[in-house]
Amino acid sequence: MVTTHSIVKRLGYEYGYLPVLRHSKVHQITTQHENKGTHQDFVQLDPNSSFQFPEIKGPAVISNMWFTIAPFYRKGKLGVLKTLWRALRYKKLDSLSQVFIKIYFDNETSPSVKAPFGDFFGLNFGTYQHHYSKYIGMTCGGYVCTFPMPFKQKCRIEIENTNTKYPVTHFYGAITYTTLPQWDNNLGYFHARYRKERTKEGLPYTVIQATGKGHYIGCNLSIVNASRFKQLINRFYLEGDGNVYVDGEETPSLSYTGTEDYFMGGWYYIKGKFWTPTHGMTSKGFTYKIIRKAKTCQYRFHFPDAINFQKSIKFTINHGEKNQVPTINQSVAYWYQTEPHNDFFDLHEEIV
Amino acid sequence: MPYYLKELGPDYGNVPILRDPGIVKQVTTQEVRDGRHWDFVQIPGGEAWSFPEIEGPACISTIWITMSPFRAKSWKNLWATGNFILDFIEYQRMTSLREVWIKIYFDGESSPSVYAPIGNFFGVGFAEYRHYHSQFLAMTSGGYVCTFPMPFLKSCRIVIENTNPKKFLNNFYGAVTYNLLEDVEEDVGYFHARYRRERHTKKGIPYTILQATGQGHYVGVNLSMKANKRRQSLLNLFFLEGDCNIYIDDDKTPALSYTGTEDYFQSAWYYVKGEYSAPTHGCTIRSSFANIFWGKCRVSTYRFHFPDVISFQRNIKVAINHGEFNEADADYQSVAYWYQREPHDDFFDKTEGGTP
Repeated sequence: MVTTHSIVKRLGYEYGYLPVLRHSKVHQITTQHENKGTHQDFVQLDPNSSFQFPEIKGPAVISNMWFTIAPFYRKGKLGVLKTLWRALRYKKLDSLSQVFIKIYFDNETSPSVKAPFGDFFGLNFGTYQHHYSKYIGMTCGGYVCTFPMPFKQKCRIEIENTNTKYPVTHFYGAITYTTLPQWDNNLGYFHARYRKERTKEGLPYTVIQATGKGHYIGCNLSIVNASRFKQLINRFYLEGDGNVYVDGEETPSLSYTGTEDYFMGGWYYIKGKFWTPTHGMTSKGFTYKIIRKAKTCQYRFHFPDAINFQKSIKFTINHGEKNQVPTINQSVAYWYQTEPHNDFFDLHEEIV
Repeated sequence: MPYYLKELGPDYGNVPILRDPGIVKQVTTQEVRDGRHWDFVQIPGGEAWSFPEIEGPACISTIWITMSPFRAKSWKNLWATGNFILDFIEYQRMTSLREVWIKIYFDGESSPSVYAPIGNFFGVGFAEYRHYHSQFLAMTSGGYVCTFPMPFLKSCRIVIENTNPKKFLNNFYGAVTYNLLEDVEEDVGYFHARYRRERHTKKGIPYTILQATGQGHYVGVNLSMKANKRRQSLLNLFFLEGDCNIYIDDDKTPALSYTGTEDYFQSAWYYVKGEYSAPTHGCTIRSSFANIFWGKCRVSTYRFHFPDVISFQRNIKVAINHGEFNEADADYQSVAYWYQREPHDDFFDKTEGGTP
């Protein structure tokens, strides 16, 4: 939309447009419901079952999603102690890696968004780490996503508990969306898909491989050193370069000098954990941790320098300069594209 | 839209574009008094001082202020001086943050569009100072910053009011930066920020953060809560169970309904990870769980609906429960931030705590 407001001309679009009055209406769907006559804020996720939010009719755009989730409920004193121990000693919430969030836009059968709860919000190891960025964050236990997600016809949001034994007793959520007066064909659909792989020697790890028209806006990636040998410097996997191949080209048009360099850090993340609006590293072991396996979890958003593609995109990242360090990689890629998306993530979701 | 802006996005791409020959101007507290240059002004008890009137069409882009505590009763009185220093250094508390109010009148209106204690207006309750920053408000190393754009057509008067008749405000510094505009179009809203407080929340009746009529959009709130009843348990925080409901345009059922107070502020589990400040939401004060257990229980938190503002065409009501069923007895104070077409209604002029 082209505006001629003089305040926008002077102060810029994002800031100057704030006082301009709007006409659309904001709606919300939540987990609140009536249970046996009493008002309940949360829902329970039973083992091996899923909860669906009410379907949203389009054209609309989801502007804000907020969730929070309890750990798995284990019966008995021992079970409670185990959950507490994991929470206090390792700062881990086991439900974060086994509860999945799935979003289906329009009539598609393969979800546009599918990732474990923690991975989607940048906590790949299921660690309970407070952080925030421009689009995703975990602030004081609230999981926030502010990626705009426009869609034409309808949107179905599903939360699936894949654990076969334990339920999650408390799951809260609130999704805010704005209805649009008409659909614009220039808009891409939001995608976020998860992958996990035990990397093979000589072959790079693929974060995203997509076909269509769109732009790649970032990823979060975690790497665990899976070598059988104790190494003096066990973060050699961070030497791996990131390469972006746009529209089927053979030499990458964007090539980064190392893994932590792609994530805008340096020197194997010499200063430890940090989070900024566009990039960060949310968990890391001790610097000289020789006995334990090294691991890092990092994110980056290409904002505002999104990487556009007209036909296809492939983003690979090496594990070690020559792909020689055995690692377990796990990532969520975020991008916008025209539907339909390809089946790369359905076929290569988890290779361990 | 030019190709350049379209490819880089209107916000980022806008930065290098040379602006129209406009004028950025400023009004400050600098004055020449008794032949000498002074950076600050002094405001005696019960009096008000106002910045030079700004003529429109213009848009205020930054307000920066800072101020001292009230003058201590007597520097010779050891007890009073000790208290004063302890308050200031140990608790970062300045009563002047509660008792000096900021007032902004646009276009010669009689009821102010902005009227709040300085501390609450800049995002932290209980007259405390906290180092934090967000998208629009900040308290950074002693400076109080507000970057909400405030456009107006004719005139703007900013008044600083010392509401305590007995205390003397020694130093008040301020600088208001504004851009002259060619015009303020008809569909540009006026900025509003109004304070209200209920010392004892009413049983069964939710606390109203905002009630307004007209066309506009709600952009955020900062809410400070304190438990009045002291029990020796973590149940002191139960007022956080209260759901937040937003009624737009005479809704019978709320259009937006959140599952709890800290849930509305994008956190969870009673702010389990403590104080933080993100650009659009944060928690600037939360008593430690040990303090909460012994009954000293306070939370100050903020949220901005940005960029997803909540628009209304006729009226809006933002209400928050204190406790799941409005049963908790607590002290609530809030500042709501919104844009709307003038005139605004008189809800805040008549409500409890809306005026000093």
